[in-house]
Order: sequence, then C-alpha cells, then structure tokens
Amino acid sequence: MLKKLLLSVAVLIGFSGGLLAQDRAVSGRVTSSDDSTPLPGVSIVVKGTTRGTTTDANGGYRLSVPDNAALTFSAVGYDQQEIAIGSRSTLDVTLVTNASQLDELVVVAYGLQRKRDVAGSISNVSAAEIQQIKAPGLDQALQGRAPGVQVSQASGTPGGGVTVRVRGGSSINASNEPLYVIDGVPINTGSYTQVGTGGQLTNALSDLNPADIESIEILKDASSTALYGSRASNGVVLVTTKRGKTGVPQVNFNAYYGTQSVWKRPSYLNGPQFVELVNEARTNRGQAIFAPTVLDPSISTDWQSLVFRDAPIMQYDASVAGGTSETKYYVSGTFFSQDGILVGSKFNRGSVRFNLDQRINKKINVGINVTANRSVSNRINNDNNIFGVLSTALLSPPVIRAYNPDGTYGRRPDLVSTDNPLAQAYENDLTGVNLRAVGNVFATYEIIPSLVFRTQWGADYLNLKEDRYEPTTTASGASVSGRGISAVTADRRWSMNQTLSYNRRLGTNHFVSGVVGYAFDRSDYEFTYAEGTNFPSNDFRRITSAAVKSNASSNGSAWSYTSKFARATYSFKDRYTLQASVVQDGSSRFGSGQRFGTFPAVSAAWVVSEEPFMEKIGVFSELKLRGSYGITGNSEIADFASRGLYGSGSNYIERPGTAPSQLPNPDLRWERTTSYEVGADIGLIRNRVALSLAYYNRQTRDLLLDAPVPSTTGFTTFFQNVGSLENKGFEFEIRTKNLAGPFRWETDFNMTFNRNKVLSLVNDQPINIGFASRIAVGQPLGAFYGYYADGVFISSDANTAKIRQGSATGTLFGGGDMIFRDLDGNGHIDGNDQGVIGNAQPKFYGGITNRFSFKGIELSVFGQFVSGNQIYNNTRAFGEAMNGLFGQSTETLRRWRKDGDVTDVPKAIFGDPINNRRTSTRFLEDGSYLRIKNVTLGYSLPQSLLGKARIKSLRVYASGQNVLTFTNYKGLDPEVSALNGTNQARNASFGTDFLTYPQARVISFGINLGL
Amino acid sequence: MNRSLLFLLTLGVWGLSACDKQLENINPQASLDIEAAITNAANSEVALSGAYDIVQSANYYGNQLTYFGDLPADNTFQSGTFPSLFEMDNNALLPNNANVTNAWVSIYNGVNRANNLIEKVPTLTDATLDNVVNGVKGRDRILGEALFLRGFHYFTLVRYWGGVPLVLSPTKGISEASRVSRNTEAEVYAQVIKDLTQAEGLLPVTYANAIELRGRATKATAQALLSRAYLYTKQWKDAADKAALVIANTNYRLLPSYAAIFTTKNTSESVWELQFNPTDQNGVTFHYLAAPQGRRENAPATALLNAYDPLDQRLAASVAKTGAAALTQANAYVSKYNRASTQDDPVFLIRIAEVILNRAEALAEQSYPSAEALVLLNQVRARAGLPALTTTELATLANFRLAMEKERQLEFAFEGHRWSDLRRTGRAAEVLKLTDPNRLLFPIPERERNANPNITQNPGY
Repeated sequence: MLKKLLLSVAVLIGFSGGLLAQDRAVSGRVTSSDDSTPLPGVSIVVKGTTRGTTTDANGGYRLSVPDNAALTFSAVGYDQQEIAIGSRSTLDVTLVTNASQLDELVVVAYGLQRKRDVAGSISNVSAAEIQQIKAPGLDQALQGRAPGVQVSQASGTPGGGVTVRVRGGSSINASNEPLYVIDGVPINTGSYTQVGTGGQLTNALSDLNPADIESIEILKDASSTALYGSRASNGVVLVTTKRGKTGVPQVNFNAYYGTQSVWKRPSYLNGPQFVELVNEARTNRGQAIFAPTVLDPSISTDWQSLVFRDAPIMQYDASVAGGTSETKYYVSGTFFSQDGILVGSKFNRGSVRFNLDQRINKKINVGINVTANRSVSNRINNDNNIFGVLSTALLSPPVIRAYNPDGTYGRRPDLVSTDNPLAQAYENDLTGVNLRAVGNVFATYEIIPSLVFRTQWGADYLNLKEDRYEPTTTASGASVSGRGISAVTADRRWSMNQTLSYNRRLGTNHFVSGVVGYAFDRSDYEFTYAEGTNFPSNDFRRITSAAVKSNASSNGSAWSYTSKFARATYSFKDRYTLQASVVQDGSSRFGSGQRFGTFPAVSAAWVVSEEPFMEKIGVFSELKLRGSYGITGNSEIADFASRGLYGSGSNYIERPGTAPSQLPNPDLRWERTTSYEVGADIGLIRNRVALSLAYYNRQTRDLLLDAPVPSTTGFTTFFQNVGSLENKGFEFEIRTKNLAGPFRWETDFNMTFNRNKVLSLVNDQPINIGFASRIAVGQPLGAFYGYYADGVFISSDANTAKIRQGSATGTLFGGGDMIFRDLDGNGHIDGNDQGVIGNAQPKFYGGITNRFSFKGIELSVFGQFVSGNQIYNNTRAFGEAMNGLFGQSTETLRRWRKDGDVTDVPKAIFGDPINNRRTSTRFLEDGSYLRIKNVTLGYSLPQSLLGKARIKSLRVYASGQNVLTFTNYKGLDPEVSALNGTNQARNASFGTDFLTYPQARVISFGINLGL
Repeated sequence: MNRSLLFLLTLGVWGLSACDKQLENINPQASLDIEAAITNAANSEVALSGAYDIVQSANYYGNQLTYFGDLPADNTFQSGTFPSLFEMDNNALLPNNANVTNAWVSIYNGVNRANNLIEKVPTLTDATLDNVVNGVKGRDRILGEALFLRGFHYFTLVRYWGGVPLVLSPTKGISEASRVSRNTEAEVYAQVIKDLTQAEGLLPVTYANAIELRGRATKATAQALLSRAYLYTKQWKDAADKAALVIANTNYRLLPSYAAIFTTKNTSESVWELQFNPTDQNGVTFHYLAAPQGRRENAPATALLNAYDPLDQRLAASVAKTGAAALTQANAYVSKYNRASTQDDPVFLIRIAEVILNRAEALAEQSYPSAEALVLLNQVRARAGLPALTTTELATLANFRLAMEKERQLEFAFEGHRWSDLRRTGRAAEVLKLTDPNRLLFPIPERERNANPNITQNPGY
C-alpha cells in the first residue's frame, strides 16, 4: 500500500551530485512487471558511485552518467537490476516484483504494520485517484473509491460541505463524520461559517491541498481504529502527505484548466403557461382571475438561464522533493480557483507545504510537516432561503422582468416576496477569508534496536474572517438600508502524542510488535460577530458606517481530550497473527464521574495461502482470513452537554437576562459502538485478481441522544444515553488485471450493502425532523414520514368512500384532489394516516474504475453509484404546489383540469385549502443514480522526445467530471442534502432536496511535467 | 540506555497526569450552572428579564402571536410562501404544523422561566430583596411579575389550545412526572385568574420611568389582563370592575390620534407594550410589509378591508398598499408595524382602548341597554373619527354585540385578538363560515404527543 512512500526510505545510500567533464545524460522510464504501471520512487544509482536519483510520479528519471557506467535500479518489493548503459541515452526498465504483497507496510494508527499482520479493514486511496477528481477537498476524492465509505456532497457550492459515512451512521445527535488525522495529528473539520446563506456550509477540509497527499488510508473496523478509541466510531481517515526522497531534486509542475456547467435544468412554465395555471387556480377557488395588467403573459423570463453560467476551474501546483541520506525535503505550492456555476459564487485557495526529515545521528531523527493555506470564498444565498439565487430563480414567476426598462432589477412585491435572483447574485458581497496553518514536529529516538520512542506535537490554527454587505439594491438590504456583517472565527487546536513502539522478529517463527503511548488534544474555539444596518449609501460597506449596530457578540468554547493506549501484535510463522489493544480515553465534555471510558479491541488473521498444504492447491496466490472485535466510542456532542445551564442573552428593556437553557445530566457518558467483522483477502492467478470482502456488524448502545421531552417542561430536548442502533453490512472490493502486456486493462470495483436500523429510543418515541424525515424504532436513519398519495380523484364521484379532510365533518375530497390513503380507515385523513413512506439510505452503493493503457496513452473511466434510496424533493413541493404565485414546473401541465382527467398531478387551486401539497409520496422519488464521475484520457510523451528537451516526463490529459448521470430523479441533482444545520439533521434528515445548488459537469485539460 | 528509559518513563508519567488535569476547568463562557442562577436579588432580576424575554420570541408575540389572531379568522389571508401558514389560513392545520408547534414550545418555555422565579425568589435569604421600592418589596414585585407572566402564558395557551396541562413548578429533570396530562379549560382559566389576582396584590403601581411602566407588569397591567380573563369566562361583573380600576388610573389615557399609537413608543395608550430596540429586534415588519421591506407573509383580507367605514382613520394607520391601483386584498399589506429599518416596532399586548371596550362589553352583557357601555364604545369610535352610535342604532343587545365585535376587529386588527374574540362569543362558525367546530382549537403539536402520550389530541385532528 505504502510502497511508493517506503521505496526511498529503504534506500539509505547517500548521493553527491559532482559532475565530471565526460558526463552525459541518460533518461528513461521505470515500470512494474506486474502491470506495466510506472514506478515512482525507484532508486537509481550509478554503480560504484554515490551518484543517483529517484523516479518521479510517472516513473521517469533523468541522470548524468559517466561513460560506460552501469545503473542499479532498486525498489522495495522488486528485484534489484543492474544494467550497463553502453552508448544508450534512453533506458526504459521493467522491474520484477519479488516480495509477497503481504510484506508491504501499511499505515495504521500510530505507526506502520506489515500487511500480513493487519486483521482489520483498511482501504487505501492513492494520490492519483485523489488528484483525478477536480474538487477543492480531499473528502470529495474519496467518493466511490473505497468499500464501506459513502461520500455525499450536500451541495455543489464551491468549497461546500461533504458528508462521509464509514459503514453507516452510528449516532443520532453526535457527529457521524470520521476522524481525520494528517501525518499523525488530528485536524479540525466541519463548517466554521457564521454567516447563514441557507442550507450551505463551509468545509474546513477544503483548506488542504489534495496535490500534497501521498495516500489516504481509511480505517474502518474496530481493530484498525481501536487506538483512536473514543473518537473511532465513525472510522478514521489517515492522510499521509508527500515526503522528500534521497536523490537529485525532483521538480514537478501540474496544471489544469476546465470549464464547469450545469448538467441538468428542470423545465419551468413560461409566461402564458404560468398565467393560465394561476388563473385556473383562482377560478377553482372561486376567486377573480388576474388581469393581464397584473399578470402579463407576454413577459416570459427564463430565470434559470440567467443565473447559471459556464464557469472556470483551474489549479496550478509546483513541488520540489529531494534530499540526502541526512536531510529530505518536500516543498510545494498550489493555487486553486473555482468559480461556481451559479453567478456570484467562487472559491480559491493558495497553499504552501514544507515537509522535512532530518537525521541527527544513528538513533535520532526529527522532522516537521507544515502547511499554510489561504482560501477565499464568495458564497451566495441558496437553498431554503427566499433570498437565494437558485431558490429565487426557481420560485420567481416568469411574469416578472429580470430588469425593468430603467435598468433596475425587476420585482413584484405584490406577487411574491422572493427577491430578484440577479440582484442576489450580483449585488451581495460575502467574502470569507480563511487562514489555516496545520503542522507538526516530531522526533524519534531508537533507545535500543527495535524499541523506538516517538514524540509528536501538532497544531491546527484556523482563522476565518467573513464580511458581508447586503446593499439596498437587494430586497434583504433595502428593508434595513443596507446590512453589514463582520465575523471572525478562530479555532486553535493543539495536540501531542508520545509513543514507545517495539518491532522484533524472535527466531524464525515469532514476530512481535507493540506500541504504548498517550495523546492529548485540545481545541479552543472563539468567535466575534458584529452586524450593522442603516448605511449612508452602498459606497459604505463596513460596520463603522452603520447607523444602527444591531448585533454584536463574542463567545468561545473549548474541549480537551486525553488518551492512553497500548497495542500488541504477535505473529507466528508469519501465518497466524493475534492482536489486542486497549485504550482509556478522557473527555472534558462529560461530568467528572463519567469522564473516562475504556475501549478494547482484539483481532486475528490467518494467512492460509502460506500454509504448506495450500501450495498443492495452487489456486490462491494470496488467501487471508481475518476477524476483529472491539468497542469504540463517540463524544462528538456539544462541549457542555452534561451540565445544567442558565444561558445569557435573554435580555429585556436593555437589562441583561438569563434563562434555563439545558437540564443537567451528570450521568452522561460515552456512546459506545461494539463491532465485529469477518473478512478475507484473496489473490488469484498470480494476484491478477485481488478480492477483499468483509461482513461487519456494528451495534451502537447508549446513544448520546438529544432526546425530545415534553415541551411542557420548558425544554424540548434533554441529552441522555438512551437508545441504540445498528449497522450491518457486507462490502467487497475486487481489483483485476484483465489484460497485461502492451495493451493493459484493469478494473477496480467496490460495492457496499449497509443496513442501518434504529433499535430503541426514549420510550421508543419517534422524532420528526426536517421537512419529511423521522427517526423511529425499526426504521433506518433517514426514514421519510408522510402521507401515501394514491393518485388523483378523476371526479368527485370517484371518492366513493366519502373521504374527508381532517375530521368527520371536514371537507370532502373532490375531483382533482389527491387521493390520500386512509390508513386507519376512519373515513378522514388526519395525522394518523401518516406512515414511513421511504428512506434515504441506499440499498447499496459503490464505484467502478476501468483503466486502459497502450504505450503512453491511458484512459480511465470512473463510475460511482447509489441505489435504492429515496429523495424527498421539496423543491417540487413548491414547484408543483399550484397554490400561489411561485414559478411552477412543467410537470404541472399534466394537472387535473376537468372530470375524467386521469393523472397524478392534482388540480390547481389557489391557497390549496385541502392541502394537496402536504408531505406525501407524491414528492418522494427514487434517488438511485449511476454517475460517470470521471473520465480521463492521458498521453505521456515518450522518452525519445523528452530526452532531448531535458525533461523527465510530460503527460497531457483531458478529463471530464460528472460526465454522465443515469437517474430517474427529477431534480437538478440526485446528490443532495439540503438540511445540514445540526448533527441530527445531517445524520437523520439527509436526502431532502430543497432548492439545492447542483453539482457541475467539468471538462478540463491538464499537464504533468517532471524535470 | 537505562538512564534514557528512566527519563522517558518519568516524562511519560508526568505527561499523563498533566494531560488528565487538562480535562477539568473547561467551562462555558456565556452560561451559568443552574444552581448558581437564582441565588440573590441581583441575579433574580436578571432571571426576571429572561422571563420577560420569552414573550419577545418570534414564536410568541415577537411575531407569530400577532397573526394567530387574524390568519385563521377573516382579518388576513396568507399571501406569502409558508405552507404552514396556508394551513392556518385555511383552518386546515395539521398536528405537525411548525408555527403551532413553535408557539406551544415557546410559551411553555416561558412558563418554566416564570416557575423558576416563583419557586426560588420567596426562599432567597438576600435581605436586599426586602427593600421597598415603588411601594413594594423587591421580593414581592419579582414574584408578582413572574406570576403575571405565568398567568399571561396560560391565558395565551388556553385561548388557542383549550385545556392544556398546568405545570406550576420549575423543571429540574426529566421523569415520569414530566409526562403531564391535560387540565380542563375551566381549570386553566381558574389558574390564570388565580395567578393574575395574586400578581395584582404584589405588583407596584408604577416604575421609575415610562419604558418600564409600559414594558413591565404593574398592578394595572394585572387588572387589565384580569378584565380580559373575566370577559373570556363571562364573569361580567368582575370584568367590568377590573377594567374600571385601570380606566380610573391616570397613567392610562386614550391617545387622541390612533395613528400616533404606532409611531410613538410608550404613550399613555399602552397598558402593556412589548419593548424592542435596535439591538433587541423583532421580525414583525419583515413578516408584514411588502417587499423590499418584508415578505408580506399575510395580508389584509377583503373582509377586513370592507369593514372599515370610509371615515375610519384606523384604515390608513393599519393598512397600506403597493402600486397605484385602488386598495384591494391583492395589493394591501399590514403597515401597523412600520419600523422596517430598525426592526424595533413595539407589540401592543394590552391597550387602554381594549380595557375600555372590555368594560363596555361587560356592562352591556350584565344589563342592556347600558348608557355607560355606549359611552365607552363611542370613546373608541370617536378617536377613530367615527360618529357616535346611538341607542336607536343599538337598540338590542344583539345590535350592541355586533357593533362591539366590529369595533374590536378594526381597533385591534393585527394585534392578535380577532380569532379568540370570535371563538369566545361563539360567532366563529357564522362569521368565518367554519363548518367544522373542531377547527376552533389548534391541534396539540405532534411532537408533544410523541414525547408525551398522556396528552390527548383535540378532537378532529
């Protein structure tokens, strides 16, 4: 897994670059005999000298050599080769694999392990896969790449929020996001914005430059995540950044430029269609129709075409890596820029990174990893917001002019309160400048051979400054003569860990390894917020100029966390491995009596393929059976959830006020997930087929539930450890080398079947959230709750059961009204006729990648799919409501108009007195999709051309993202989640679409240049 | 080697204990532990401000309750975007209606805030609580204000939901006892009258300044609200008597101009005026005014617009229109709340005009014809620029009742009265053409019944 990284570490020969007069250049490309893929990091030494280099990311190298020299090519896992150059100036080499893949080292919690000893589930995502996705954040790059890992982008906002679920959500009110650890140090994630723009959040992970990442390991089962005990319930994402390698400096330039566009636009009514519909609705309600002077059918504004645009996306990065046996360095810089496909939105980021390893002496090494980033985002209102750009583009009726003849923005306050979308897009300022520094220093000391002490100290400083101005040219700004906001958010986090690790082979049959240590992590969060209104004019945009300082506040919070851990691994004959670990974690979030929790895990692996009896069978090039069991925890809740609190700020008549805000629960304790897993790793046909499969079962108990309580108490919720839920699933990954030789074809395929179910709640009372979501026993998180719609009455006579609305004396449903199912058969439709109508959890999801290559040409096609989930399309609940003056979709052309009409769209009726548009299966849709997430066609120029230009490697490529999406979903994009305000919303009301910013299709062109 | 091992071990053990210490002493920076909240005179006053603050909530009179009185009735119609408000306009509320749920939750939040003071303040040992200011002990005043607020909360609850659970002690934790059952409507009214009567005996006549006099509960505020409570329970004599006490109080006088009530803060018109300022705002104008100032979420309906006499000055003070066309429900919007740029419109919870009409109604209901009732009614009409009604025009009690109904509709439009007035007079079905009598009460929120199965639903939901 970490082959590339370790190649250079293994080679500790020093080089010096003194050039002799008779030197000449030789260049070439090193590939693997396995699959002909380029091999980066191969060490190349001129035999008998200390002169050498390593291959770059594309396997290319370039070296000055004396005449008649011989080159030694070496890499971990490959047989060393020695080749005399002769008179050649280009030399392409194929290295033959020697070692079993089982001896590769894998990044694990607080260290590295031999793959053969790993009994848990660890998925790897490579640098190439991460870079393929043209997105600001590394989390987006995980989508579809690893089994058991479900990634959904909540919206297409540049730099926006992403949810990642490892083997299903395990909590209801605590966070379900995995822990992110970069180069051994946990980092801040999530959204820090203080300026609401609708349902959209920002994403602290988009501060990190994906181009700096060497590999990502996703720890999924209890034994892999065990050392992160209490923070491991949702999996752990370990990110390893690139490091320097011994050899002459390698310089890489990468650049791409692309264009993004909206791939699907829902069809909305034009002016005449709209006016006809509205007047029909008026007539059906017995109200006078609108005169053409009020609703002018000759105005037919296509709002969507005015707010969507083709937008550029680009990235330029450069890096230099190199070093000697004593000092190794990696330095990089990046600029990324993405304009949104909706007018007014933009994200860009510049970042630098410096990673250094220094050997002090035989026993001591020190190092530093540091990155500094500055990102600037311009966001626009959207989602659930009448001032949103897309929101108002969909909700505004076509009979309003985009611009008045005098050039001002067209608005019709007498019709709708929504603002002009163009005013919102072009006039508002919202700039967020995020400064982020993430770094750590570390030192290792080899006390005795095999026993290493390591100390690491890290910091993650995040500082977000947001400035907003809503000018009087927008509806939101006009009401208050301009509104300004200035907000500063800071999160200062520092952490450290100290470990003592031991790795030793005892005799030929025994291999023992272990690690003990402790870790500490603390975060101090602070914010300052100021808001002012009544500005002299739009020329003044800072709060100093505001006549009314309407809001000013500042507050902070903090948490700290400690961990003491130990892990021991014993392997017998390299075939039987046993591992056990235990962690005691402490969190400031709990009361003194419940502060600490203990989290144990055990695992075992059996490499069957290395048993003597298997050699006769010979089918398996690798067969490993593995299993693990362990307990992990979660405490990602509010910092003071266990306390009884009186909050401040409840002021009256300029007198300070306090009010009860939270009930005490001194017994609040860790949420615990007990999981077990059984799995197998199978290699067939000399590992041309590699299959990995696992069944897991994760039972979460003592849920940290912000449980609803009777609000007659004065509180709506109370944090307690009640309830349980489970995730059970099967996941597999298969990697095949279908064709080897000059024409190569490889396929990676992964798929996950996760079943999530809530097992118990407080008195098993269900919890309704969002527009249509419900947490209920026996149902998965993300269940939808509402009425069953069975079509539309073709006439009043068709209501033979005489179903009424609300009560026995309510209005009779008539022709053109929805047929709601009378579940309790009492003859009227009331709250009891609601049921679980669907859920947002997919039955399965996964990804498939096909890679083809021939000579220097390579093509990769990456698809990602989700199946069996539903989406509650609340956009349609507005766009097909036919009850007012909002823009309506062309679905309404199929509406019921007269007796006898057979349709599933009810009649238009102003005000919708019988509530045909209530939450029902009418707006629930199949959310399954298969998306060709990425297609990349690349060409690496041959060495024969490059050698002359003194270039090591040059690759050009064209790439398409979100190229094709196969779905029956009617909305703009099936990958949506409009409700993100709280943990509970993200965990249990996902899969609701409401005026959500869609994903873009991206066509881009790029180059990779190695010098 | 051994030395360095020892060193590392020592360092390690020291580090471990140092780390665990870091878990302690992390405290909230803007909250207080519950036990430390109400312990002396100063923090009781602070908690009292918090008890008033809930009434300012957008889910309470900071916005919602201003239209709960009109939207289900005929004063306004839903012209905006919220499906939940369409439900209210159409008298087709569903139990999960967000506005209904949020109001219920906020009001009970207020009950708990008041209960905390009612329980704790009498037991506090701080001697400064017994200092006499404005003629009453601080302890009594705080208790009186808290009781007044609790009475006000239950009065609001009973008007919209009928017999609601009576919770009379502060919540300290969640237990089986938290799953309360409903009381009857009569029991709730009895509690309202009990709290307000007790408050009347404890509260001062006045405060140090006009803002506090109008913004907080005084003896007269309790009397005025009592007169309303007696009116709702048809205890006419008590209603008339309590109203008389307020009318006789020189702190309260009809303002000569109706329009001035809504452009000037804290006038003699206000018996209880909910205070806002530019740093303690509400969203009322945003709700009512037309774009760009607001979203005209509900707008004056034809029934209301038609009810105004051409001479009635209250129309211009209450309603405005967009565009040049004649005023109709298509272009009308509520303009009673008009401080869009500062968003600090006061909300009028009790005006002296209401107390006057309360007495007029209570007198007429006791014995008709009543000369005084007519005088009082005509006081309010005269202020609106309308001619006096005569005994000839209002020959019967039925005539008087209709006149009173209309007067209250126009005088208190958008102030949260119409729906409850029609319900208490039994006129809702006829005036609103409401065929289903079950619609006269709002549904108990679904979330409440999910959390507490002991709460029964109102019939028809």
